[in-house]
Amino acid sequence: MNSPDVIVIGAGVVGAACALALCDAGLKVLVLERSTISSGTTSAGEGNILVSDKTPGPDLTLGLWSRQAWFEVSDRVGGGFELEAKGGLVISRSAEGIAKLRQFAVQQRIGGVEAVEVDHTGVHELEPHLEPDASFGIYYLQDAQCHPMLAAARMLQAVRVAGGEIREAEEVIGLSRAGSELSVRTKGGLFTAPIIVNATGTWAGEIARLAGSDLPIAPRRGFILVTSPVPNLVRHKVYDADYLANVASGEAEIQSSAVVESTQSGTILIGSSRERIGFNTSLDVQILRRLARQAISLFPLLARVDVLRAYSGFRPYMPDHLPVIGEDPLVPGLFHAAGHEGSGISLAPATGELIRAAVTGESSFMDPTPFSPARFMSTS
Amino acid sequence: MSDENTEQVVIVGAGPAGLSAARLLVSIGARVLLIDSGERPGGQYWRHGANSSLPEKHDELRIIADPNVEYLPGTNVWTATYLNGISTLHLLIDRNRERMVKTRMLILATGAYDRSLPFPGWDTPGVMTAGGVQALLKGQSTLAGKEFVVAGTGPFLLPVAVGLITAGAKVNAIVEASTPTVWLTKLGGLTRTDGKIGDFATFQKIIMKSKVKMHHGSAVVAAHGADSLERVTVAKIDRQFKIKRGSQKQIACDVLAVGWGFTPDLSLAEALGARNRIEPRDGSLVVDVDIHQATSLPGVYAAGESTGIGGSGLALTEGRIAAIALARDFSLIDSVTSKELMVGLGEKRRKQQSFANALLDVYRVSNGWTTWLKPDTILCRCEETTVGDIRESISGLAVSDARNAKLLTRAGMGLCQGRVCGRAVSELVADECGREVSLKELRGGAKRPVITPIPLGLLAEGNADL
Amino acid sequence: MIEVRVFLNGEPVQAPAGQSVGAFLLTAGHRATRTTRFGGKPRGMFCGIGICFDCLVTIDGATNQRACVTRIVEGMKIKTQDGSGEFE
Repeated sequence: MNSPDVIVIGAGVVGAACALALCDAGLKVLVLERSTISSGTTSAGEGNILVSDKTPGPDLTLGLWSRQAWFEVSDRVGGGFELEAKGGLVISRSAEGIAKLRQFAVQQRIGGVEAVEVDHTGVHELEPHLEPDASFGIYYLQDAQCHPMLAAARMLQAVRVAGGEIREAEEVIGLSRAGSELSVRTKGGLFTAPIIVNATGTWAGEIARLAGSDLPIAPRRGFILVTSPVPNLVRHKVYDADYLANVASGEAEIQSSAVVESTQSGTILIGSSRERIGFNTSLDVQILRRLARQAISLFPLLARVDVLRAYSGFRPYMPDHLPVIGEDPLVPGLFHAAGHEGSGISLAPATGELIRAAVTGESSFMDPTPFSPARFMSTS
Repeated sequence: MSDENTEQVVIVGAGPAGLSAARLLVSIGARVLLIDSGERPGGQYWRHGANSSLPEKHDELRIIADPNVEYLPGTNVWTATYLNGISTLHLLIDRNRERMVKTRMLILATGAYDRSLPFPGWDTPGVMTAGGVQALLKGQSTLAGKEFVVAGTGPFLLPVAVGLITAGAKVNAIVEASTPTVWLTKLGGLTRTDGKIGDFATFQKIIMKSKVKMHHGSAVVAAHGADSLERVTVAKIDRQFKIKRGSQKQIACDVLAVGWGFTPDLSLAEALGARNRIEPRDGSLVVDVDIHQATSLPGVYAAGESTGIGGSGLALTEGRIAAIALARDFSLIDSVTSKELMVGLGEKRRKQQSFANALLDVYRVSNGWTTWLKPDTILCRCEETTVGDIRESISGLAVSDARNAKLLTRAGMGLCQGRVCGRAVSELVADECGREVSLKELRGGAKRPVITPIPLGLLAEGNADL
Repeated sequence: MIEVRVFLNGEPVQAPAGQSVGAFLLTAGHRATRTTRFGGKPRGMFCGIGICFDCLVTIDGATNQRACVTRIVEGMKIKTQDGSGEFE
């Protein structure tokens, strides 16, 4: 492609959403992907599109808008990524947990979340196979799910159809100023554009450093168990309220809590674990055992279901648990769209929209300042 | 239950290679833990049932009864890790019992399984692998059906056909892709090795006497039947496996025993992190070993089909060499003894490998099989992904590699975890993209951290010792 | 050969102890052990050695078990599967 208006680095779900939003704004978009599309964290996700885990404030504002936007994206790209507004059920089984969950839901409702308290009868109507003693939950009508890789692939296909270009096997090894533009060097070529979007997720700090800046993104490993296909067992996304504490935690060692949901293919996905252990991909059997125990404690029938496979992924962790979306103060023209931790899929379309607004100098549905990369830089 | 006794030698696989290694180790006074997924020893090559005379023929089979062998049949390694010289194996004994084993001394002899090529109708009940028909006959004394066609390529088709004929089955045809001229060219000059050529001659005699029709330079390119196999289409094929126009004809059968050589079983080696390589003669991924059968992981050795397809004779030799190397490396024997034990073995292995390689040359699979496919041909049996689904993902979603084809179409994500379709998917994707299959794709397809499904309840219980 | 009582789709039948469920089902006239979960197509044993996971049946309430590597034992409850089967 000659003279792209924007180069997006990274063809995961966030890069794809940014590329599509920029394309639809009339810009010529070139996407550079170091491997094949969605080979990063996007291929290790569960497909969560949640409002239930969003903290009131910028996180929730971003999350609500994004959730709605996913349905517009589906219309835009012709569906085909298993988007389902299945709803989420958050369970708590301790008095303290119930109180905290109630309080959290009150705050979320103020922010626009539809959250319904459910009692013992209610939780078992929603999930007949839930363990018999569960007696309190909050049902989040807006929680949804999709197939993250198909979502990214469909968005990227729409980018191609609209005249954009996606180049795989282009690993970025240099990023520098070239007059009024920025120049990106890959192993195989040199590309220049006035605007670069860094959508490289867990590796976004590396790209920032290549450009002479920095981002405090670190990998936060998670494991997922996949069961063999089962008959109807779980209808919604179901998780233990402890999940919320884990997301918000900064602890390096293992945080895990029960997250269980079914997929359209009939398998059940079981999470979730969080550890700051670098990019270690080796299987940790102890963590798998914890995940299994937690899942069975929610759905006892799972005990006789076979685990088919397990995989790990690296969430892009940010110390303040908010993504970085906006122009780098040290490198004008370089925009970051990364650091979404476990909410990359949820927040992708909203990120794309904020990037579109930032790049074109227009306003958007919210003030993006809370996500600014400048918040980590001391004023010099 | 867990074993922290890292001083026992652990062998995974009780086929010829594993049994041969066990026999050597027992003879030098070592204690062996022999783990096998089958209910009886012998793997695929020596599969036998309750009243078989095979254990008399091969005394390796009787090693399981030795007091120095702890034999665990019906046991799968569901996952394994390797760290600082110690292999940790997590065993699945049954749905309620697990066991963890740690060792510094490990021999992998995990063998191979039939290589499958997809074709229209291959998912019809009655279509089976040659190994599957053989397993039913030899292991369960059961004929898979009434009228058979044996097809594919490879020396294995002969014993399968002969087994069926001898059991009184009606074999309507043997369909072999290679041609006699190729056979003679490649193998005619080889001297007898372990009586292998003699075996062929015996098989050929039985087949000729039975008057079963042999089709050379041919393949079964389609299977037909509503809910159950009724007949197959046989066609003449060229060396690229493309169908010769006008040569198709139909043969009735209710069982098709089809085999296209073997695929080494690398799951355990991969879980541990042993290096693999491509065997250029058949393009399969094998465990990379040196002349001592040592893998890239100190203390881990591999022997038999998983290091390269070569038959039972070669597996016996490699198993013995691996055991000797392990014993010497861990000072169970001194170097004088190890030299004595090794006398003649290196040369024997070389000769057997040479013969095995010649066979691989003769019985090649060319990728013209992709031209037999129709858009609705199932490619991934587990997830019912069709050829059309794969092609659409390439043309409509710009899929450019096997990994993404898998992640976007589910091909290879089902219960068998790509064991049956993985290589075929990679080859179809490569073919559609106008290139060769990459090493990365073949390697990616072999990684299965969870090797065998394990019940969640068992995974959850764990073990107080762990 | 010792025969034991097992249950096939709820009905009591005699089966050889230690034989594979796959071989038993074949001789009992069930070449197909299940139908696939998306297309509803019949499947039976394909590889016969526990690699392909096509010969799935429900054994004692556990779904997706391979018939070819499961041995007959007294009292075993065997069910052919429609798709992913059922929980009991």
